[in-house]
Amino acid sequence: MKAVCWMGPKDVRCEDIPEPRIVNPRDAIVRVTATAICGSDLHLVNGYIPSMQSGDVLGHEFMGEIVEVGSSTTRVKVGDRVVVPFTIACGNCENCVNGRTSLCENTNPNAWMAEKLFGHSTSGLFGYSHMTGGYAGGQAEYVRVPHADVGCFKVPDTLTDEQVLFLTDIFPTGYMAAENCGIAPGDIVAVWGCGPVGQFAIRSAYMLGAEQVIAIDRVPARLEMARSQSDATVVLDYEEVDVLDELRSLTGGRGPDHCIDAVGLEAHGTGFMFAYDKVKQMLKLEQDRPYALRQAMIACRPGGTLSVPGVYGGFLDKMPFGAVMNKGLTLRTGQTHVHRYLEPLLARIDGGDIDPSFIVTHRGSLEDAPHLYDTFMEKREGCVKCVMTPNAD
Amino acid sequence: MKAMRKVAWRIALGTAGSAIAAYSARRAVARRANQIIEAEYFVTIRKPAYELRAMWNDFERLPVWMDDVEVAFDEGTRGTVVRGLIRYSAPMGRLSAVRSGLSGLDPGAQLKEHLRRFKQLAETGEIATNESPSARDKPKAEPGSHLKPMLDAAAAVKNVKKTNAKKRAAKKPAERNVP
Repeated sequence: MKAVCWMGPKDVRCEDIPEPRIVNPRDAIVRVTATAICGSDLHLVNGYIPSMQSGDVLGHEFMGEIVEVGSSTTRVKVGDRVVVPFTIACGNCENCVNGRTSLCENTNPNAWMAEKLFGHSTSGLFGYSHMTGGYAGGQAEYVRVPHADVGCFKVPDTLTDEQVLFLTDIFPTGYMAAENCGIAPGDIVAVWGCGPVGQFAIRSAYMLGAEQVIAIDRVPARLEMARSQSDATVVLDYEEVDVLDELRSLTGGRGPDHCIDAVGLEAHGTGFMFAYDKVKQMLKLEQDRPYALRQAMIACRPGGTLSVPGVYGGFLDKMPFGAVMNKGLTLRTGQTHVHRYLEPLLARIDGGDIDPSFIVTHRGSLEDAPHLYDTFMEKREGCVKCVMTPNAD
Repeated sequence: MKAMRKVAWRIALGTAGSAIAAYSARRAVARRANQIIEAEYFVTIRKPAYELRAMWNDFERLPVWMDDVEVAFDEGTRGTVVRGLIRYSAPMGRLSAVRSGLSGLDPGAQLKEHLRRFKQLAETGEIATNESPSARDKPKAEPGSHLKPMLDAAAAVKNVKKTNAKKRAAKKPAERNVP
């Protein structure tokens, strides 16, 4: 079968590899009909997430049709059209039972690696390095899905692939980021990063009662999408304005009630701190480039909330944690508990509250992956989201 | 000078910082007495103790070196806490314990993996595996292939040891037989 493989940093190829097979009794095999490239895939391609191995299959946003099931599956059947959360959950451990499925205790066969870095392991993730399990990803014609009864959600035929595909990661991720803020009516939310997660965070903040949302980025197409599609009250180009000054004047000097960092470890910025991070990251003295996170800490209203859906890999340098402590900020973060949000958000799509396909700007086949990754990485041609269609008839 | 050396060490160890930190946390429960290392691990499993006790007896046979393992089951409100205790000797004392601890290969770490798999089996009925295709020259992964990084690390340590031994032999041939 064809699959998009990570062959080394900045080396993505479409390769011919063997098809997956059922290994455990709770597995299913999904024939992929649509799969997307996530911003966090770029962190892998750029080599910032440790424990990738040459040949790994990429992709954690995928959906399709079940073509084979293991002997212990009861809920899913061959022929079901399903979306699959990027976090692999067993449904039985304490975290799963309490809805914290991205922290599943039983699905990372390489938990010892994560423990060395983080103290504890997270759940296994599809196509996201060996530290999070080493599972083959969904940018392929077929994928093995462990614990299929827990990890496959049926979707109605009335909705297109592009309408439901983003339930696998970015829509729930943006929603959880907004929910983590604890928004009260009248609140002002600032969102750093107008990529796909940022767009869904803006939309979700309104769903949860925000009065104003301020969006921050530098790419014109993304700022325009935030304004016209996601309905941001104000958009700020951080290369044009002083973000901290603008945020103060837009909030009567208080600062935003809630700050969402939808950027993560490869933030861009301006001035000395950005150059400092870039150099340290190149010299491997720092894994992450937390420019946006630092700014959010400084910008946030005393007593406000800092919500971090952006991905960080390890050690952050020069964090103004004094601001977090002294201003009494609440810090909420985590990989998304996709299973918890999937069905409520599917209901919102089905009910017409939101059509997530608005973010798709580029489409192609698996063979187009190297070109699509490059276009997405460089944010050329107004690229916000790429969708690939394996098995296209 | 001493302070400078200390700083240099800190920088050198900076990138390996995570591994060092995790090592010390784990070793906090390991005690050494006359080259005997004692390590204990805990895992909480959402199953009653009587079920786990029966399962443990049927669980894949413990490796021979694990004959000095004690396992206790303590049922509480959030599941059964399984405590595994292992005593083993480290041939080169503390240093080899440090080294094998870093490569994840010492008996303590293996007991920990054993307990982790036991929990997976008890709670989900299966043991997690990432067996799936990739573009590496491997049409299908062999069972246990997820342990490969661990084994590779061990092989690397062995190679370093061999090279060092050769270097020492080449350097001081005369001194080697001096009692």
